[in-house]
Amino acid sequence: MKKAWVIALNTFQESLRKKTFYILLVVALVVIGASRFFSFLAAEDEIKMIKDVSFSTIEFFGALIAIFTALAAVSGEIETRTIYPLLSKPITRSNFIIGKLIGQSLIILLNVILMSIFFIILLFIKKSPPNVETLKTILLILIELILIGSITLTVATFATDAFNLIFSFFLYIVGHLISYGKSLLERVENMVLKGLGEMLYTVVPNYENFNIRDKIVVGVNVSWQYVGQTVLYGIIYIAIAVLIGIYFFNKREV
Amino acid sequence: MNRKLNRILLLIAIFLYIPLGLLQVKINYRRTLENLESRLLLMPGQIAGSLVLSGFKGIAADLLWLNIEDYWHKGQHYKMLPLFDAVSWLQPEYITVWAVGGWHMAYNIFSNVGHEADDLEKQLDSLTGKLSDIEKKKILPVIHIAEEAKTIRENLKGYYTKGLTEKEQPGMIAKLTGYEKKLEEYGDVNKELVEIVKKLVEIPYEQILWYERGISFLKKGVSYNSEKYDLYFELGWTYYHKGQDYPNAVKYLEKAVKFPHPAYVDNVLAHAYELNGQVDKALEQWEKQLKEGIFTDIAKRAIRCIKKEGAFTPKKRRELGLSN
Repeated sequence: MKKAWVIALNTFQESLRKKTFYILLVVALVVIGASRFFSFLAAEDEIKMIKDVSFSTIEFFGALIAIFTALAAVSGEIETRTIYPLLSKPITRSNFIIGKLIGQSLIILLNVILMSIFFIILLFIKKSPPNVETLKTILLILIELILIGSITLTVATFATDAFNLIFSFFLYIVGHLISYGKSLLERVENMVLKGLGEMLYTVVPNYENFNIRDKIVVGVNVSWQYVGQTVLYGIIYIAIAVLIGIYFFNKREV
Repeated sequence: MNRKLNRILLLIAIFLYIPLGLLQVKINYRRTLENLESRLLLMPGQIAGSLVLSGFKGIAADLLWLNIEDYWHKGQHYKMLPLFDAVSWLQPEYITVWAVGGWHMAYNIFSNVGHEADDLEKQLDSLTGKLSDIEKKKILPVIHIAEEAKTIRENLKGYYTKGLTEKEQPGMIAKLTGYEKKLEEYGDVNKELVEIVKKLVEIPYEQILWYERGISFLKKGVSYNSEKYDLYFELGWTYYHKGQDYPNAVKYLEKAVKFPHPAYVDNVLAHAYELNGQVDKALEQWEKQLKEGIFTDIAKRAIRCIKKEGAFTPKKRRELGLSN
């Protein structure tokens, strides 16, 4: 675990050196700040719009940072050939993948913290301090982003960057739409198709589980039980992604 | 790592899908239970559609809301209607959209429809002015209908409307439908004049429909937000203020006070009780407010007026010939 931690810190520091991270972060902060332009609306509507824009920005730019960090984590090491001296040391490939995952998760965490602080300051300026529901929303966004990053990391162990990039964005959209597929599945009569559909429904990550922001902004409360179950869902899925990532990385000739 | 161990890792990963599937069933159940299910709205060619696809329904609703604001300031009320439906479909718990939508229909569009009448009245006056006495005699029932329709429209104007309550509406609609049928008989006598009167008869009919549409929109909003006072109050207020329909106003205001609410809701309920003829309940409500220290000056004055003169609300006092 100590070895994985060393790789994690290294990945974290490497990512901090990349300009992409800062560009995305600055753009995100500008977008969050721009939500103040809704001041022509009634106070209540303005707060709702600030929350909508901020949550969506944290998620969207967070997803971009998660995907780009994960892409660079494996292929970057291979391209610069830094992976060879690393793997020649007493470091297992599973240590490498777990370390990379922890490192990129730390970057995602830092990014979410920075954007959330900016968002919370904005809420205080508008005299609408955040409540526990706001924190629940941010927590679920964070878990979703780590999940997105871990899936990208897994695909990076066996696929090219271009394929991985397209696949990650495609999965991001499908993952948000999959919950609507469930109701369609209930109407399918062909048992084979239904079975395949059910399998797909379980295998594809259901990112919509993590989406409570549309409800929170209009005053709906979400139970800790739901938050707990969704966090557990995220953790199990991250574990699956890491195990598959280790499997493919072990098989890869590096 | 040897091959065997690697395969075991893969097997564990596959095995983990079982608890994941079971957990998803639980999550789906909780989403239904906690009303967290989100709805899909596809609008081809519109930016909102693509945003919805990516799970940004809140942003899509906000963009539509900004469009509503824009149409509102341009006075294009009719264009707002499909957008109200879209926003309320995307975020049914967004109370403002129900409240503002209901208000636009029952108040603003209702009033806009009435504005057309002024031009039509002028056209009618000019046409009747040109008619000979014999022609006037022939078309007298049509002119009579135009006058009746004007009275109905006048009753729908201003603060104290008449004809919008649940009791009055069926009679009013029957009356207007009767006028429309009668006008058909005079189509050949003076087509232009009859067409104008037809439009004048249609105006109050349309106004009643817009009032009802506003009420239905608010009721739909209540069904999605039944645990909050807001839309019960909006509905009760629309019945109380616009429709002068006090039994329904009391019904919904009583529901509003069951949930945490601002003090003015109690105040309106007390007024509604009095206008609904429930003077004892009105007194009880004012006394309750006095006890709780809400609007104490008004409550003291209301209790004194009701006990001494039998009325406190301006409408009731006017009916009894008392000074306000």
